[in-house]
Amino acid sequence: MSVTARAPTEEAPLTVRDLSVHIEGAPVVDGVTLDVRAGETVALVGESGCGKSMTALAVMGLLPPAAHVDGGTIRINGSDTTRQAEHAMQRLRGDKIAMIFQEPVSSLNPLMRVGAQIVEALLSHRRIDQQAARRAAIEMIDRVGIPDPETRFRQYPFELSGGMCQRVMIAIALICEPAILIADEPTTALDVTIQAQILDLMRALTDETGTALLLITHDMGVVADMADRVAVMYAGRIVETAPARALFARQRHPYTRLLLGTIPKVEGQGRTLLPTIEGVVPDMRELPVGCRFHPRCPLAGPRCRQEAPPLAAAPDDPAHESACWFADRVGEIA
Amino acid sequence: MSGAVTGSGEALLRVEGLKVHFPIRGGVFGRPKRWVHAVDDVSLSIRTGETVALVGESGCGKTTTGQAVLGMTTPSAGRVLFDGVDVHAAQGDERRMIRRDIQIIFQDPFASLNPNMKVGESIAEPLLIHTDMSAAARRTEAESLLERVGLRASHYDRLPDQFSGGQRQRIVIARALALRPRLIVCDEPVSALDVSVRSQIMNLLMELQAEFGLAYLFISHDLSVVRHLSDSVAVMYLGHIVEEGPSEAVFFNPTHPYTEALLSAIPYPDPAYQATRRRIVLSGDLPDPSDPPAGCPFVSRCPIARGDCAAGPPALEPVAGAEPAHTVACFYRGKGGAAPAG
Ligand SMILES: Nc1ncnc2c1ncn2[C@@H]1O[C@H](COP(=O)(O)OP(=O)(O)OP(=O)(O)O)[C@@H](O)[C@H]1O
Ligand SMILES: Nc1ncnc2c1ncn2[C@@H]1O[C@H](COP(=O)(O)OP(=O)(O)OP(=O)(O)O)[C@@H](O)[C@H]1O
Ligand code: SF4
Ligand code: SF4
Ligand SMILES: [Mg+2]
Ligand SMILES: [Mg+2]
Repeated sequence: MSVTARAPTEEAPLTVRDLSVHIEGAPVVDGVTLDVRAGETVALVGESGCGKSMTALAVMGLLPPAAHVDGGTIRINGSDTTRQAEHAMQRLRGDKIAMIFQEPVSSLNPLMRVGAQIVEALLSHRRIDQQAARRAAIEMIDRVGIPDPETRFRQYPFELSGGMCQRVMIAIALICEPAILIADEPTTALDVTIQAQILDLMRALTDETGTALLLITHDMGVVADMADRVAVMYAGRIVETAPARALFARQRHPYTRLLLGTIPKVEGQGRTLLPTIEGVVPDMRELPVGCRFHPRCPLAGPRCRQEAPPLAAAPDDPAHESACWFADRVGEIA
Repeated sequence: MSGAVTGSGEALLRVEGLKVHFPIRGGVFGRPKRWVHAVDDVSLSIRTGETVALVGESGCGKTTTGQAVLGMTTPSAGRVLFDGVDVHAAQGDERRMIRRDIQIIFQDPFASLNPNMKVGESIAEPLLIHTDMSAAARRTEAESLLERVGLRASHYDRLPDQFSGGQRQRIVIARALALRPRLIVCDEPVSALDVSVRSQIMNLLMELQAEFGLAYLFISHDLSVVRHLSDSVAVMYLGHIVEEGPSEAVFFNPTHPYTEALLSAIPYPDPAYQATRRRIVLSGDLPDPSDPPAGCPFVSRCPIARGDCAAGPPALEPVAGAEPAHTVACFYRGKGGAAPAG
């Protein structure tokens, strides 16, 4: 297990307060609040389209043109980046804060050797000579588990498999040892044996250099393996957040409970029907009134169809928050 | 056939010594310079009502095996027998029987439906090609299939882009069912789906199997999905089956070092338990299948490899002391006595 809060009084490298983003009128990120402390891994989980990547891209200052920040603040290493000019943000990116993107192949330059891309990432933020940068890049290619790093250094992206391109992206993100790393589904496209290698590497990074890791994933196994804390998103909002062990032990939002129930487990019973969540994720353009989960929720009552529940701490655990009118009854759901 | 959950009787599908080698062309005359050994000596059998899973890492030859079963790829060696008929040699009525009785469901529900065709027509299309049903009867049948997979008859006239990923996969399943096949090759049918939708589709596949007595060749790289659905499992590595057996045997008594590493690498969704597990981290990648290692295919990554592992490929043999159906291809594991530790 990695280090949690270094010094509680020190401000976390990444703090997000009440962040909202809309795309063509749809509130794709709605009042998201998150802290990632030094050496800590926070997992952001939820189903496709719930706003995980938009949250991450807003933090990076890389939202697509159609997306607009409506409000909230983002602080990176103590400075409010929502009020900063683009060139200041550019200096931070790749140095203090780096991101591993969801689509690996499209984020590499196809016309440039992979080694040169890693070296460039290092040289644009550090004053070291070419030779040292080259050595650091080759070492990083080795650390992300790519065999024969000297040869790979000289190859182009098309000469590498998809999994290797993903690992090159990871090498680029890690080369400056950023204070904050956002990893958006970093291992989803990889085989489990390679995934295990990459997760080990990210764990070493948070443990050894105190990097704050925001890990976006929909794989609850990866969450259980990596996260100190978890934030569960549904339709643009965080519906539950807690230390990882507390969240897996006891859920205070029906969505989290149902989500955990639907996962097939390797060590489970074969050939049995799995629990399911009825219905589908709502269209962000036609969100239900009140609690956004109510059309699919087995506990939904009249109040849920009218009033949106706020994120509130559990009476017995201030670190465990959820947005549900009936948080105490979630255990009743089979 | 009602509620056939586990297979019974004679094999419906028998794959014998299948090899599929693809040429890599080069040189002035375009003669094959090298060959990709995509599938190298694979044998398996599936009974009616049974699910046999093929698992393994990307590029190990799962899809190619599935395509050979469907007759979409010509074997370089070996045979595929469906109900006793050689799939690649069948002509006339036998060929038509095979094209009705074996269907496929692909991974990507977005790519496998024609975007300009009403979904009901997509479902009815196989009926148009393979039967002499009237247009009205085809529509009625497609509507009842839509309902069977959890959609509505009124969805018949809609286009694919009006459906979510999970709904499209239901449509693809309905189309695969239209001809009442006996075997469906499921190639990563739930890999592109979100977790909550995935469990719905997995349940649907299990229900349909019991209702229609279907056999599945279930291809997946996701071992937890495979554990949930399959009666038996074949673990592939670099074109070879390295371990095979009843699902319980392979998952609870993994014998090949590769199976062991694969299983240990899957993170378990419980932090307290996950922290106690020992993980075998393999180094390196799958070797280049056009230049496979001599000897055991796993030798370049095997944590317990010895000098003689490179001598020749180990044969798939029964695991000592286990059920006879549990087989492993390793010179050292499953031989009884003290096995070398990883
Ligand atoms: N470029 C875009 N233009 C318009 N809408 C977009 C764009 N990108 C995303 N969206 C919408 O914004 C919402 C949030 O998307 P986001 O990419 O953050 O989801 P996500 O949680 O990362 O999902 P996934 O798990 O599929 O990556 C979705 O409803 C999506 O349809
Ligand atoms: N038509 C082809 N021509 C040449 N090589 C091919 C062809 N089809 C597949 N291959 C190669 O054969 C090997 C096996 O591929 P296959 O698609 O069967 O793997 P797979 O196990 O299904 O992988 P994945 O999990 O990525 O789908 C790979 O090395 C692949 O590159
Ligand atoms: S507020 Fe109501 S509808 Fe929403 S999750 Fe809680 S019980 Fe369900
Ligand atoms: S035969 Fe040798 S290399 Fe192959 S799996 Fe067994 S021990 Fe490892
Ligand atoms: Mg995303
Ligand atoms: Mg495949």
